[in-house]
Amino acid sequence: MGREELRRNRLFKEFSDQELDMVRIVVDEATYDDGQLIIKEGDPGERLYLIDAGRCSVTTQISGAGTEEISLLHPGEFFGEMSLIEAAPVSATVYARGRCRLLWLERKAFDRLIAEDMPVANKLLQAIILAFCERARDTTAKIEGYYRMSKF
Amino acid sequence: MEERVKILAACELFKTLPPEALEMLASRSEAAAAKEGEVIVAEGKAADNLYVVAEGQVDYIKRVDEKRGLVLFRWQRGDVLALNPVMDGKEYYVSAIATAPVKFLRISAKDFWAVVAADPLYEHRVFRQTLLIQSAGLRQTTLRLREFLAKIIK
Repeated sequence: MGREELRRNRLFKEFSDQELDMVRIVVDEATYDDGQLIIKEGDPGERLYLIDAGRCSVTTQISGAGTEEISLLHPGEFFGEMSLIEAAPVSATVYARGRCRLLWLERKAFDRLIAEDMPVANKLLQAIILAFCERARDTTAKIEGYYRMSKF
Repeated sequence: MEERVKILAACELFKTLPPEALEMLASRSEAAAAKEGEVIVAEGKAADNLYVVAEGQVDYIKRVDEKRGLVLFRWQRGDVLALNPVMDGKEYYVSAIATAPVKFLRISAKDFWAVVAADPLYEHRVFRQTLLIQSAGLRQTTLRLREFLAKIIK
C-alpha cells in the first residue's frame, strides 16, 4: 500500500510521510464487484472503509417502500466510522456501485491509531469531524428538500 | 465562576476535560439568558460562538420558507449549540430558538479554540466527545430523512 493511495483519501490528506507509514502497516485492501454487499444495516461495525476507486451506494430501508439510496460516495471518501466511534451497529447498508477498490482498517487498528500517538490521533479525529460537519449540512439540506417535496 | 465550571463539567462536550481546562473555559465564558421565542443562533450568520445550555429548552429549526421552520432537534441542559459550525468555521445552517426561558454559557469560537489548542490532551478529549455528539446527531437526522422520504414515496 503506497502513501499516495492513502493520501488520496480525505482522512489522510494532511498526514506527513512518517505518519502515513504508521497507517500503511495496518491498512488492508479488497475489491468488490458491481452490486456486491459491503456492509449491512444492523450488523456490528468492525471496519473503517476508505474508497480508493469506484463508488459506493449508501442505502436504507424505508417502511412500505423498500430500499432507497440516501447517498453515493466517491473515491477519497470513507464510511463505517460511526460504528467504530460509538461501538454501535452499522446504520446503513452499503453496496459497490461499479467495481470498487476499498482500503480498510479493523476496529483494533483504528483504536490503536487513536490511542498510540496523540498528534496523529488528533489529526485523524479532526478530519472525521470535518467530514461529519459536511454530512450534517448535506443531510439537513436533504431533509429540507424532502420536506418541500412532501408538501406538494 | 464555580457555577460555570459545574455547568461545563456537566456538559457532554467538556465532561472529560481536566479541572484546569474547565476553569480556563469558564473564565472565558459569559453567562447569558434568552426569553421564550428568542433567537440564540440565526441560520446563515457567521459561527462566532458556541453555547452550552444550563437551563431551559432550545429547538434547532431549519427554515423551509418565509414563514415556516422545521424542528430538527430539541436541546436541554448539558447540550451544546452550534458545535458543527464552530468546528468547520462555516455559517450556522440552522437557527436555535428558545422554546422556554433559557440560561446558557456563551464561549466565543476564538476562545474555544484557544483553550482546545492549549494542550494536545484537551484537543484529543474535545475531539473524541465531538465525534460522539456528531455521530448521535447524524443518526437522528438520518431517521428524519427516512421519515420524509417515506412520506414522499407514499
